[in-house]
Amino acid sequence: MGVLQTESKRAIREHYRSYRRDFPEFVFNQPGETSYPLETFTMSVAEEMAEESRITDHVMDISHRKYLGWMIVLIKKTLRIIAFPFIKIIFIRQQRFNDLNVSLAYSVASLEHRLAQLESLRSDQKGMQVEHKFPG
Amino acid sequence: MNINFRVDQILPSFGSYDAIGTETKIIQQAIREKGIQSDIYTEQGIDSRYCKPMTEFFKRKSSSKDILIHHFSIGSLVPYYLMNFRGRVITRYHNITPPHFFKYDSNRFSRCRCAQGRNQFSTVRQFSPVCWAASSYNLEEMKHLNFESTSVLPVLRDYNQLFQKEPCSKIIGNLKKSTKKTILFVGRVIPNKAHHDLFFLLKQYLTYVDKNIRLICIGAVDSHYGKKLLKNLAHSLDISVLFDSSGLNTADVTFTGPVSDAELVSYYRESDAFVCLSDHEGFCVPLVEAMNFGLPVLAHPSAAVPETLGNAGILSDKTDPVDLIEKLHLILSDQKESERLKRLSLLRAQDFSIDKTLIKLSDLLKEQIDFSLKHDAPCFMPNHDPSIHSFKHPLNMN
Repeated sequence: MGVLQTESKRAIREHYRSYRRDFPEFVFNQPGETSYPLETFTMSVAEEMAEESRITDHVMDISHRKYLGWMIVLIKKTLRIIAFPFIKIIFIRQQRFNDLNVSLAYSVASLEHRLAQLESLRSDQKGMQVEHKFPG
Repeated sequence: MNINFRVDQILPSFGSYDAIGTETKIIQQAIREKGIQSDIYTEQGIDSRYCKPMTEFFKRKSSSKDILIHHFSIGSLVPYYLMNFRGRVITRYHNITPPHFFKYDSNRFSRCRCAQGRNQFSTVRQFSPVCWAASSYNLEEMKHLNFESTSVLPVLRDYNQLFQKEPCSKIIGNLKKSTKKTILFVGRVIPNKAHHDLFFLLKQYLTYVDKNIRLICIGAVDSHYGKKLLKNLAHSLDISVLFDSSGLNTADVTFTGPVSDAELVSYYRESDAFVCLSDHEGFCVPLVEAMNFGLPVLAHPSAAVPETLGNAGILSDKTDPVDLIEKLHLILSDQKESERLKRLSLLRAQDFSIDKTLIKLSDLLKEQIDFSLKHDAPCFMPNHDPSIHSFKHPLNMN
């Protein structure tokens, strides 16, 4: 142990503070934070899924290959031009699927919320010994 | 012996070569060897060699003696399909990544699915009295649900099969061309695996300790986190990164992408240390793979990592980078320490061998089968209002 000198240690700790401050796009834990509590139910899950139905993201044609990247990009652009007339048909189907998915997510989210409410009601009423009468 | 019941498995998405997919295949084989019928039902990634589509699950009539193992690792509609199952449901909990790791827009889908999954705990509990968790950490998350029966069953995987594979001579040749020390990490390039912290660690090590080191990351690359955010970070930290194995001897960091078993064996054999700085792991299969190869392990103690590692590696909180770097240097430079960790790794790996885990699976299955045959499983848990369970499959396939 002890390969680092005092100055180096100070510099590393300073770099670490800057790194955590300058890159907010990454998730950083607090010291000692090693587990994560379960989140409570929120409707934002369904709302976020609703955003997925908007297919508007611009897709960039890129390649990270060192030498053949230019050719791969050219092929991608050519294929995109060929596929363009058919894209609208595909997107309409995708849009419909996403809409169905979103409405299902809303239904499911409200069902889960109702279940959580009933669960809470049941534990409240345990002491009162109320007999539940179920329909049917 | 006339066996008139079944033990099936159900999961939202099947991947033939991922940890959960591999485990379902092993479990299916183990069940069929006992002469019990067993199928795998899934919605996505249907591989006709191993699994059947969910439509088959809806069509078949279950009996109260049947058992269904539900692999719960992500949010999906599968918990609601369990409503009409007449037998006993076992929840196989692999853990669900907390959604806050998928912060940015292009991972919205992952964030929603993870949030949905972590919201579905009570739904899962409604239909399942038994929980088999992949680790004590996972079981702790389920503690508040008061399952009738809980057990820890490590991920089933035949590590020996990987160990005995012939390595890829081309990869080994490439790795041996350089005298650089190699630190390895295996795992999908997604935010909770914290590749960004590996980059920071590497940069500080290169600057203040030794320039003769490289990082190899194996795993599928998420296009935004991997190819954009990490690239930007590498640029800011002034370290070179390449996204294919041609950069093994030139770049500071090489992302190989998915590799074959032979290539994976080559990397495990030729690396000097396995470093895991993940923020969240439900079990961490690559840790056990690394231990099987006697690779010294340095890891951040989060989630299930300390439990899986045991005393076989070195744990260091990554929020103290100085300590992390000192410990990495110890592993890479001290031969005695490296040998000690190698011995401990090989010993610890035996605790997760396929023989031991299959014995545990067999015991747990026998317990559930005996219970199921003696008692009729209720269609609903007691004290539930059936009127609220008026869920209909969106395609009306009830």
